[in-house]
Amino acid sequence: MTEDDLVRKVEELMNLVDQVKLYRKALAYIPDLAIAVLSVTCVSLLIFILVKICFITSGIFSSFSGFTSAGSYMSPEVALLLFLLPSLWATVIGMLLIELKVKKVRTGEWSSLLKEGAPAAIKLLMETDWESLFSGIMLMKLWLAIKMLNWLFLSYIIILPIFQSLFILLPLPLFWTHKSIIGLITFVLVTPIILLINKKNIKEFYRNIKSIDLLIIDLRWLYNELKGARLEA
Amino acid sequence: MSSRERGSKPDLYVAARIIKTLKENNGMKRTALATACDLAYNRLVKYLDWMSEKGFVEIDGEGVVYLTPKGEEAYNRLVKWILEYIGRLKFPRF
Repeated sequence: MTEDDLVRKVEELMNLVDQVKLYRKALAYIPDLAIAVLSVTCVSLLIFILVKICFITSGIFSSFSGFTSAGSYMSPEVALLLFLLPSLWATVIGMLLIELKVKKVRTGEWSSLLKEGAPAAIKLLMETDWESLFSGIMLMKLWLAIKMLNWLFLSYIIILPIFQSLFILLPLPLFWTHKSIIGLITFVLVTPIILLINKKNIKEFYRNIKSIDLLIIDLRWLYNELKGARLEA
Repeated sequence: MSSRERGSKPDLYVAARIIKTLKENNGMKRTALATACDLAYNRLVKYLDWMSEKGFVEIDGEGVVYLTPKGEEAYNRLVKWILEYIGRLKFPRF
């Protein structure tokens, strides 16, 4: 093991510090995202109320929209369309926008210093805000979980309606064509497919969470040892 | 060393930089060493006082600074010791 190994390892550590910085930034946008999604949900609700007031009573859309003029019944598909889909799409688009914003954050400012070699590596180690790094790594776990859930939701949004449409087209006994039964069956059928599609992502998520936990243990050890670092022969 | 540094332990970065520079060009005048380490001359002198006290460097009558085997060993031990801990880290790739 040489000085170059030390520099290489510190470079990896600093890359992690940069990643923590990016994840912190991403999580800072979550309240904005929540507000945006809630706004979309409210607008959806408003549109629904307006549509109901303006058109339902006249019967214009009742034949194909899923609404009935007789009462307050609303089919599950329409409820999904009006509330769930816009909100979920807002979440997905919001997450993608956050990723774009996060990519603009400046990183690697330490790289020119690290060219000095081992002394610079020691300096970077000594000046690292370890407690902030630990809390940041925990936030990374949270962000990874949010991202994973987001992909699962996206998969459901895309695949569930396709399966429901296919199911409705099948020649089935009357009992099976009940909307709630179709909804339940397609959900049960689609779930393993979604898990299979996201198998790689789920595995990667689990592996990342495990490696983060191990890393925190080793980093705490390093931090405690560095506190006593000094030059002595 | 500054008044803050005098009361506490010396900055490892500065000490390590002085040793590394001397490892690469052993036998340097103090002014040249200060320039090579990008340190203020007064600050360098204070560090050299501390390092010669510890036996890490020797300064001859003409003000030329030499790294001692003890200084080189201390530096190598520090690097090896840090590497021992940081070498264990396995960084996840996202």
